[in-house]
Amino acid sequence: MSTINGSYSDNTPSTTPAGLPAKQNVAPVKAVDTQSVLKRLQSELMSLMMSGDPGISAFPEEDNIFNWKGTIHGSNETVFEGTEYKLALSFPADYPFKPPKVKFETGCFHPNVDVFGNICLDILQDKWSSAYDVRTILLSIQSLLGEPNTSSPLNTQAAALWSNQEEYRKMVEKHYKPSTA
Amino acid sequence: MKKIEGENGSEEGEIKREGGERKRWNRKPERAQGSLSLGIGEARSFYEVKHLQQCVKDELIDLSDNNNLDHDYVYGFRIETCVDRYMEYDEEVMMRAAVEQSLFENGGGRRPTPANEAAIKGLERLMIKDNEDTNCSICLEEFDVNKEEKRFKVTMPCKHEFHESCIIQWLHTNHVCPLCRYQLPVMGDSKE
Repeated sequence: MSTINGSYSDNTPSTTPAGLPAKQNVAPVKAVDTQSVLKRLQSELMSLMMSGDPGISAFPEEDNIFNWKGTIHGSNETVFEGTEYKLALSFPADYPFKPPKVKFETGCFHPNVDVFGNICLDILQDKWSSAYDVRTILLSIQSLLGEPNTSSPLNTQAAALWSNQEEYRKMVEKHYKPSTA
Repeated sequence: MKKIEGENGSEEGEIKREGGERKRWNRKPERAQGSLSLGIGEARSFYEVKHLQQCVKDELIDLSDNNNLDHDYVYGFRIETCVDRYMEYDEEVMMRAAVEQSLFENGGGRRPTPANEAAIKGLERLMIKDNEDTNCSICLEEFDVNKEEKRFKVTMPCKHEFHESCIIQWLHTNHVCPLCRYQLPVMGDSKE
Protein backbone atom coordinates (compact mmCIF):
# COMPACT_ATOMS: atom_id res chain seq x y z
CA MET A 1 0.00 0.00 0.00
CA SER A 2 3.00 2.24 -0.02
CA THR A 3 1.77 4.00 -3.14
CA ILE A 4 -1.26 5.21 -1.28
CA ASN A 5 -0.29 8.05 0.96
CA GLY A 6 3.23 6.87 1.41
CA SER A 7 4.00 9.92 3.48
CA TYR A 8 1.35 8.96 5.99
CA SER A 9 2.99 5.79 7.18
CA ASP A 10 6.39 7.27 7.81
CA ASN A 11 6.07 7.87 11.50
CA THR A 12 3.99 4.99 12.71
CA PRO A 13 5.93 3.08 15.31
CA SER A 14 5.67 -0.65 15.38
CA THR A 15 4.30 -2.61 18.26
CA THR A 16 4.82 -6.09 19.58
CA PRO A 17 2.04 -8.45 20.63
CA ALA A 18 3.20 -8.45 24.21
CA GLY A 19 2.44 -4.78 24.48
CA LEU A 20 6.06 -3.85 24.68
CA PRO A 21 6.49 -1.49 21.81
CA ALA A 22 9.68 -1.82 19.85
CA LYS A 23 10.31 1.85 20.10
CA GLN A 24 12.89 3.74 18.17
CA ASN A 25 13.39 7.42 18.15
CA VAL A 26 12.11 8.00 14.65
CA ALA A 27 10.48 4.75 13.73
CA PRO A 28 10.95 3.47 10.20
CA VAL A 29 8.05 2.73 7.90
CA LYS A 30 5.91 0.09 9.45
CA ALA A 31 4.57 -2.89 7.62
CA VAL A 32 0.98 -1.78 7.51
CA ASP A 33 -1.74 -4.26 8.22
CA THR A 34 -3.81 -3.66 5.10
CA GLN A 35 -6.21 -6.38 6.05
CA SER A 36 -7.35 -4.61 9.18
CA VAL A 37 -7.80 -1.32 7.32
CA LEU A 38 -9.96 -3.07 4.74
CA LYS A 39 -11.97 -4.69 7.50
CA ARG A 40 -12.55 -1.41 9.22
CA LEU A 41 -13.57 0.37 6.01
CA GLN A 42 -15.98 -2.41 5.13
CA SER A 43 -17.44 -2.25 8.60
CA GLU A 44 -17.89 1.52 8.25
CA LEU A 45 -19.57 1.12 4.90
CA MET A 46 -22.03 -1.33 6.39
CA SER A 47 -22.98 0.86 9.33
CA LEU A 48 -23.16 3.97 7.16
CA MET A 49 -25.62 2.25 4.86
CA MET A 50 -27.64 0.93 7.79
CA SER A 51 -27.74 4.21 9.69
CA GLY A 52 -29.60 6.12 7.01
CA ASP A 53 -28.58 9.52 8.28
CA PRO A 54 -30.43 12.13 6.32
CA GLY A 55 -28.30 14.49 4.29
CA ILE A 56 -25.08 12.48 4.19
CA SER A 57 -23.89 9.53 2.18
CA ALA A 58 -20.63 7.99 1.05
CA PHE A 59 -19.46 5.08 -1.04
CA PRO A 60 -16.09 3.72 -2.13
CA GLU A 61 -14.93 4.23 -5.67
CA GLU A 62 -15.36 1.26 -7.92
CA ASP A 63 -11.78 0.10 -8.01
CA ASN A 64 -10.33 1.33 -4.74
CA ILE A 65 -11.83 1.04 -1.29
CA PHE A 66 -9.26 3.56 -0.02
CA ASN A 67 -10.95 6.31 -2.02
CA TRP A 68 -14.52 7.25 -1.26
CA LYS A 69 -16.93 9.79 -2.64
CA GLY A 70 -19.19 11.47 -0.12
CA THR A 71 -22.21 13.73 -0.40
CA ILE A 72 -23.44 16.32 2.05
CA HIS A 73 -26.68 18.26 1.87
CA GLY A 74 -26.73 21.76 3.29
CA SER A 75 -28.88 21.71 6.42
CA ASN A 76 -32.27 23.33 6.46
CA GLU A 77 -32.48 26.76 8.05
CA THR A 78 -28.95 27.56 6.95
CA VAL A 79 -27.69 29.54 3.96
CA PHE A 80 -26.64 26.20 2.47
CA GLU A 81 -30.18 24.81 2.44
CA GLY A 82 -30.99 23.10 -0.83
CA THR A 83 -27.38 22.69 -1.93
CA GLU A 84 -25.51 19.42 -2.27
CA TYR A 85 -21.76 18.98 -2.08
CA LYS A 86 -19.56 16.18 -3.31
CA LEU A 87 -16.47 15.31 -1.32
CA ALA A 88 -13.48 13.09 -1.92
CA LEU A 89 -12.17 11.03 1.00
CA SER A 90 -8.84 9.33 0.71
CA PHE A 91 -7.80 6.94 3.46
CA PRO A 92 -4.18 6.43 4.45
CA ALA A 93 -2.75 2.94 4.75
CA ASP A 94 -2.63 3.38 8.52
CA TYR A 95 -6.23 4.48 8.90
CA PRO A 96 -7.82 4.97 11.45
CA PHE A 97 -4.63 5.99 13.23
CA LYS A 98 -4.29 8.83 10.77
CA PRO A 99 -7.25 10.80 9.42
CA PRO A 100 -8.42 10.52 5.84
CA LYS A 101 -7.79 13.44 3.53
CA VAL A 102 -11.10 15.07 2.81
CA LYS A 103 -11.73 17.66 0.11
CA PHE A 104 -14.74 19.35 -1.40
CA GLU A 105 -15.14 18.45 -5.05
CA THR A 106 -18.06 20.80 -5.48
CA GLY A 107 -17.07 24.44 -5.08
CA CYS A 108 -18.14 25.64 -1.65
CA PHE A 109 -18.21 29.28 -0.58
CA HIS A 110 -17.39 28.84 3.07
CA PRO A 111 -15.01 30.52 5.53
CA ASN A 112 -13.23 27.24 6.28
CA VAL A 113 -12.98 25.89 2.74
CA ASP A 114 -10.40 27.21 0.32
CA VAL A 115 -10.55 27.54 -3.44
CA PHE A 116 -9.01 24.11 -3.85
CA GLY A 117 -11.69 22.45 -1.72
CA ASN A 118 -9.40 21.95 1.27
CA ILE A 119 -11.22 22.01 4.57
CA CYS A 120 -9.89 23.52 7.76
CA LEU A 121 -11.47 21.36 10.43
CA ASP A 122 -9.60 20.34 13.55
CA ILE A 123 -10.89 16.77 13.67
CA LEU A 124 -9.35 16.18 10.25
CA GLN A 125 -6.00 17.39 11.55
CA ASP A 126 -4.61 17.52 15.07
CA LYS A 127 -7.89 16.64 16.79
CA TRP A 128 -8.36 13.46 14.82
CA SER A 129 -9.32 10.41 16.87
CA SER A 130 -9.23 6.80 15.74
CA ALA A 131 -12.77 6.50 17.05
CA TYR A 132 -14.06 8.88 14.39
CA ASP A 133 -15.36 7.43 11.17
CA VAL A 134 -16.74 8.49 7.82
CA ARG A 135 -20.14 9.11 9.35
CA THR A 136 -18.88 11.43 12.07
CA ILE A 137 -16.63 13.21 9.57
CA LEU A 138 -19.49 13.91 7.19
CA LEU A 139 -21.78 15.00 10.03
CA SER A 140 -19.05 17.30 11.32
CA ILE A 141 -18.54 18.87 7.91
CA GLN A 142 -22.28 19.24 7.53
CA SER A 143 -22.50 21.12 10.80
CA LEU A 144 -19.39 23.12 9.93
CA LEU A 145 -21.30 24.47 6.93
CA GLY A 146 -23.86 26.13 9.17
CA GLU A 147 -21.45 26.97 11.98
CA PRO A 148 -18.20 28.19 10.45
CA ASN A 149 -15.19 29.24 12.44
CA THR A 150 -14.79 32.78 11.16
CA SER A 151 -11.82 33.62 13.36
CA SER A 152 -9.29 31.60 11.35
CA PRO A 153 -10.71 31.48 7.86
CA LEU A 154 -9.24 30.00 4.70
CA ASN A 155 -11.68 32.10 2.70
CA THR A 156 -11.49 35.59 4.18
CA GLN A 157 -14.15 36.96 1.88
CA ALA A 158 -16.64 34.36 3.07
CA ALA A 159 -15.71 35.01 6.68
CA ALA A 160 -16.25 38.74 6.29
CA LEU A 161 -19.62 38.22 4.65
CA TRP A 162 -20.91 35.64 7.13
CA SER A 163 -22.56 38.24 9.36
CA ASN A 164 -24.78 39.27 6.46
CA GLN A 165 -26.72 36.07 5.88
CA GLU A 166 -28.87 37.46 3.11
CA GLU A 167 -25.89 38.52 1.01
CA TYR A 168 -24.10 35.33 1.96
CA ARG A 169 -26.91 33.22 0.56
CA LYS A 170 -26.54 35.05 -2.74
CA MET A 171 -22.85 34.21 -2.84
CA VAL A 172 -23.58 30.56 -2.03
CA GLU A 173 -25.93 30.43 -5.00
CA LYS A 174 -23.47 32.27 -7.21
CA HIS A 175 -20.62 29.89 -6.38
CA TYR A 176 -22.73 26.78 -6.39
CA LYS A 177 -22.06 24.53 -9.35
CA PRO A 178 -23.73 21.19 -8.70
CA SER A 179 -21.98 18.28 -10.29
CA THR A 180 -23.79 16.61 -13.12
CA ALA A 181 -22.48 13.19 -12.23
CA MET B 1 21.74 38.84 -6.88
CA LYS B 2 22.84 42.43 -6.99
CA LYS B 3 19.66 43.75 -5.48
CA ILE B 4 19.98 41.52 -2.47
CA GLU B 5 23.58 42.46 -1.92
CA GLY B 6 22.75 46.13 -2.10
CA GLU B 7 19.86 45.83 0.24
CA ASN B 8 21.03 43.88 3.18
CA GLY B 9 24.58 42.80 2.70
CA SER B 10 25.50 39.72 0.74
CA GLU B 11 23.70 36.45 1.31
CA GLU B 12 26.89 35.03 2.63
CA GLY B 13 26.99 37.71 5.24
CA GLU B 14 23.42 37.07 6.26
CA ILE B 15 23.89 33.40 6.67
CA LYS B 16 27.19 33.72 8.41
CA ARG B 17 25.50 35.74 11.09
CA GLU B 18 22.43 33.54 11.43
CA GLY B 19 23.87 30.11 10.92
CA GLY B 20 27.20 30.49 12.62
CA GLU B 21 29.90 28.69 10.66
CA ARG B 22 31.09 30.05 7.39
CA LYS B 23 32.31 26.76 6.00
CA ARG B 24 28.89 25.18 6.23
CA TRP B 25 27.39 27.97 4.23
CA ASN B 26 30.06 27.65 1.60
CA ARG B 27 28.87 24.18 0.83
CA LYS B 28 25.74 25.58 -0.68
CA PRO B 29 24.77 23.33 -3.60
CA GLU B 30 24.60 24.61 -7.15
CA ARG B 31 20.91 23.88 -7.44
CA ALA B 32 19.99 26.34 -4.77
CA GLN B 33 22.29 28.96 -6.27
CA GLY B 34 20.61 28.63 -9.64
CA SER B 35 17.14 28.91 -8.21
CA LEU B 36 18.03 31.91 -6.18
CA SER B 37 19.42 33.84 -9.12
CA LEU B 38 16.47 32.87 -11.23
CA GLY B 39 13.98 34.07 -8.68
CA ILE B 40 15.64 37.40 -8.16
CA GLY B 41 16.17 37.95 -11.87
CA GLU B 42 12.44 37.67 -12.36
CA ALA B 43 11.57 39.97 -9.53
CA ARG B 44 9.92 43.15 -10.60
CA SER B 45 9.81 45.52 -7.68
CA PHE B 46 11.62 46.49 -4.56
CA TYR B 47 8.83 44.96 -2.49
CA GLU B 48 9.06 41.66 -4.27
CA VAL B 49 12.81 41.51 -3.86
CA LYS B 50 12.48 42.26 -0.16
CA HIS B 51 9.81 39.64 0.14
CA LEU B 52 11.80 36.96 -1.60
CA GLN B 53 14.84 37.88 0.41
CA GLN B 54 12.96 37.41 3.66
CA CYS B 55 11.45 34.21 2.40
CA VAL B 56 14.83 32.74 1.48
CA LYS B 57 16.34 33.93 4.72
CA ASP B 58 13.61 32.29 6.79
CA GLU B 59 14.10 29.04 4.95
CA LEU B 60 17.83 29.14 5.56
CA ILE B 61 17.48 29.96 9.22
CA ASP B 62 14.98 27.18 9.52
CA LEU B 63 17.38 24.82 7.81
CA SER B 64 20.30 25.74 9.98
CA ASP B 65 18.16 25.36 13.10
CA ASN B 66 17.24 21.89 11.99
CA ASN B 67 20.82 20.94 11.24
CA ASN B 68 19.80 20.21 7.72
CA LEU B 69 22.58 22.15 6.10
CA ASP B 70 24.49 19.00 5.32
CA HIS B 71 21.70 17.54 3.29
CA ASP B 72 22.18 19.10 -0.08
CA TYR B 73 19.01 17.65 -1.46
CA VAL B 74 16.79 19.03 1.26
CA TYR B 75 18.60 22.31 1.05
CA GLY B 76 18.14 22.67 -2.67
CA PHE B 77 14.60 21.45 -2.57
CA ARG B 78 13.46 23.79 0.16
CA ILE B 79 14.90 26.83 -1.52
CA GLU B 80 13.33 25.92 -4.82
CA THR B 81 9.98 25.38 -3.19
CA CYS B 82 10.19 28.81 -1.70
CA VAL B 83 11.19 30.49 -4.94
CA ASP B 84 8.63 28.61 -6.97
CA ARG B 85 5.90 29.67 -4.65
CA TYR B 86 7.09 33.22 -4.82
CA MET B 87 7.23 33.28 -8.59
CA GLU B 88 3.98 31.65 -9.48
CA TYR B 89 1.43 33.08 -7.13
CA ASP B 90 0.37 36.40 -5.79
CA GLU B 91 0.65 36.95 -2.11
CA GLU B 92 -2.78 35.77 -1.10
CA VAL B 93 -2.55 32.51 -2.97
CA MET B 94 0.94 32.07 -1.62
CA MET B 95 -0.30 32.45 1.92
CA ARG B 96 -3.04 29.99 1.23
CA ALA B 97 -0.52 27.57 -0.19
CA ALA B 98 1.53 27.91 2.98
CA VAL B 99 -1.51 27.24 5.13
CA GLU B 100 -2.42 24.33 2.96
CA GLN B 101 1.06 22.96 3.20
CA SER B 102 1.17 23.15 6.97
CA LEU B 103 -2.28 21.65 7.35
CA PHE B 104 -2.23 18.90 4.83
CA GLU B 105 1.34 17.83 4.44
CA ASN B 106 1.91 15.08 6.91
CA GLY B 107 0.21 16.89 9.75
CA GLY B 108 2.42 19.93 9.37
CA GLY B 109 3.44 21.60 12.59
CA ARG B 110 0.37 20.38 14.40
CA ARG B 111 1.30 16.77 14.64
CA PRO B 112 -0.22 15.03 17.67
CA THR B 113 2.04 14.04 20.55
CA PRO B 114 2.48 10.34 21.38
CA ALA B 115 2.09 9.05 24.91
CA ASN B 116 5.25 8.11 26.74
CA GLU B 117 6.33 4.49 26.94
CA ALA B 118 6.10 4.22 30.70
CA ALA B 119 2.50 5.36 30.65
CA ILE B 120 1.64 2.91 27.90
CA LYS B 121 3.30 0.02 29.71
CA GLY B 122 1.52 0.94 32.93
CA LEU B 123 -1.95 0.50 31.45
CA GLU B 124 -4.23 -2.21 32.82
CA ARG B 125 -4.11 -5.21 30.50
CA LEU B 126 -6.56 -8.10 30.66
CA MET B 127 -7.13 -11.23 28.66
CA ILE B 128 -10.56 -11.20 27.07
CA LYS B 129 -12.47 -13.97 28.85
CA ASP B 130 -15.95 -14.09 27.42
CA ASN B 131 -17.42 -12.71 24.28
CA GLU B 132 -18.54 -9.27 25.14
CA ASP B 133 -21.27 -7.38 23.49
CA THR B 134 -19.13 -4.34 22.98
CA ASN B 135 -16.78 -3.27 20.23
CA CYS B 136 -13.35 -1.79 20.19
CA SER B 137 -13.90 1.73 18.88
CA ILE B 138 -10.64 1.68 16.96
CA CYS B 139 -11.01 -1.43 14.78
CA LEU B 140 -14.80 -1.59 15.29
CA GLU B 141 -14.56 -5.32 15.95
CA GLU B 142 -16.05 -7.08 18.96
CA PHE B 143 -14.06 -8.12 21.97
CA ASP B 144 -14.01 -11.73 20.93
CA VAL B 145 -12.30 -14.42 22.98
CA ASN B 146 -11.69 -16.46 19.84
CA LYS B 147 -9.64 -13.86 18.04
CA GLU B 148 -6.09 -15.11 18.27
CA GLU B 149 -4.40 -11.83 17.46
CA LYS B 150 -6.65 -9.75 19.70
CA ARG B 151 -6.80 -11.68 22.95
CA PHE B 152 -5.99 -8.79 25.23
CA LYS B 153 -7.81 -5.63 25.98
CA VAL B 154 -6.48 -2.56 27.70
CA THR B 155 -8.40 -0.30 30.05
CA MET B 156 -7.44 3.35 30.00
CA PRO B 157 -7.51 5.37 33.25
CA CYS B 158 -10.79 6.85 31.98
CA LYS B 159 -12.17 3.26 31.92
CA HIS B 160 -12.51 3.10 28.15
CA GLU B 161 -11.48 -0.26 26.76
CA PHE B 162 -9.77 -1.14 23.50
CA HIS B 163 -7.94 -4.06 21.98
CA GLU B 164 -4.41 -3.93 23.22
CA SER B 165 -2.84 -3.78 19.77
CA CYS B 166 -5.29 -1.09 18.67
CA ILE B 167 -4.84 1.29 21.58
CA ILE B 168 -1.07 0.89 21.65
CA GLN B 169 -0.74 1.84 18.03
CA TRP B 170 -3.01 4.81 18.64
CA LEU B 171 -1.09 5.98 21.71
CA HIS B 172 2.09 5.91 19.67
CA THR B 173 0.41 8.47 17.46
CA ASN B 174 -1.51 10.50 20.02
CA HIS B 175 -1.60 10.45 23.81
CA VAL B 176 -5.34 11.06 24.22
CA CYS B 177 -8.14 8.55 24.67
CA PRO B 178 -9.90 8.15 21.30
CA LEU B 179 -13.28 8.38 22.99
CA CYS B 180 -12.98 11.09 25.64
CA ARG B 181 -9.57 12.72 25.06
CA TYR B 182 -8.32 11.76 28.51
CA GLN B 183 -4.63 12.61 28.35
CA LEU B 184 -1.87 10.14 29.13
CA PRO B 185 1.57 11.59 29.93
CA VAL B 186 3.46 12.47 26.76
CA MET B 187 7.02 11.68 25.78
CA GLY B 188 9.30 13.90 27.76
CA ASP B 189 7.00 14.05 30.80
CA SER B 190 9.18 11.44 32.45
CA LYS B 191 12.07 9.22 31.52
CA GLU B 192 11.21 5.82 30.19
